[in-house]
Amino acid sequence: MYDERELMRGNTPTMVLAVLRDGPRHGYAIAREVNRRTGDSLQFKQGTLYPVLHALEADGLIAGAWEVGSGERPRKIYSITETGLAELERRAAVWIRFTDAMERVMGVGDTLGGGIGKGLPDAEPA
Amino acid sequence: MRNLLDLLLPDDLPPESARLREERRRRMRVEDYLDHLCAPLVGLVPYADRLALRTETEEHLYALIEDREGDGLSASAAVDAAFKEHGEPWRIGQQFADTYCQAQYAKGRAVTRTFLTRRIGTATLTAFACFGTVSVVNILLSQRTALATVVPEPSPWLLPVNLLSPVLAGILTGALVRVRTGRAVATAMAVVLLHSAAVVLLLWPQLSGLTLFLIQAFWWLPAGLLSAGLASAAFRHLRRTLYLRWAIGGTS
Repeated sequence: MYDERELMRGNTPTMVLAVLRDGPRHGYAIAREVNRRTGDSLQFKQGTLYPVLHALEADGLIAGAWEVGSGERPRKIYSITETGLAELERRAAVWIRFTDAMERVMGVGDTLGGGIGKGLPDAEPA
Repeated sequence: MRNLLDLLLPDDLPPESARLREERRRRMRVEDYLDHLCAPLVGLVPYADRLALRTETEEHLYALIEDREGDGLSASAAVDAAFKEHGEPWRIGQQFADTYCQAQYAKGRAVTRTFLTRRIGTATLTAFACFGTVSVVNILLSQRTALATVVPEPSPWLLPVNLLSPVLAGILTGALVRVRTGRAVATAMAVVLLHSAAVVLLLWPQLSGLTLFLIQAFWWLPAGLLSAGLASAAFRHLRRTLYLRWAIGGTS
């Protein structure tokens, strides 16, 4: 079944990298920032961030450091690395190319909100 | 680390205080959530990595809870909302385990999750090992009784062993499996009962196999579930208390 959650799962690493490009954050702050930027339209389970964060850290795309403030619980602050920035650029290019192709295939490029299929050229006869 | 431990300390709190009681209840629920999240990682991910994930998740959960309380939810409703937003703990643990295995594989390290541990779960396999072992002992004793014409007297140990087996297996399972023990014991017992049903047919018309099957169905299952559940809770509490004492002793 075509599911928004599947799309979310595949693109969560890219969203994390994009959020961290603007500055170091801990896990909860990343989740809140994703929700803020999407206007809460993408409801994802925040716990699924951590497998992604640890995988990105293992790949060297982000770096984590523990921080213990006075009177606070310890937090792990993540920041994007140079490799991560390059990877984000690459992913952004792939994403733009992919969504552009999908919009042209589905005929929603110029008619977003106007309904899929509007403005499509007549199908060529087989 | 000290701050985290301070927050977890339950024993010095006066029980008459409603606020502290509520805080203690919240802490227990968060601990339970974290136990479920980390359970799929035991035996796979090193302890230091599990502790890091646990600490991170804990911080995230408390931040979520505080935010929901700030939105006007009651303490209990805030915990419910936080758990819902954070996601199902077992599933997150499984995702983390998969991610960890992929990362290790990419580094050329052979860390794989077998089909059995992925689909059935380490907990169920452990429970099956415990209940399967005591079941085999009981079946052998039953066979000895069935062959009473060869062996003059039925074993005097049959009934006591029959009755004590599920308690022993339950305690052992509870000690080894800290979460989802009920599910693990029920699955293991289903296999054990199927096997015993086959033994009933093999020993027929001798009734000792049938007796064992009935005892397993109506005594082993409830006794095993209860003893495993109690042992699991007791060992979790003991482990947490000992860890806290050790950690505080090391930091103070």
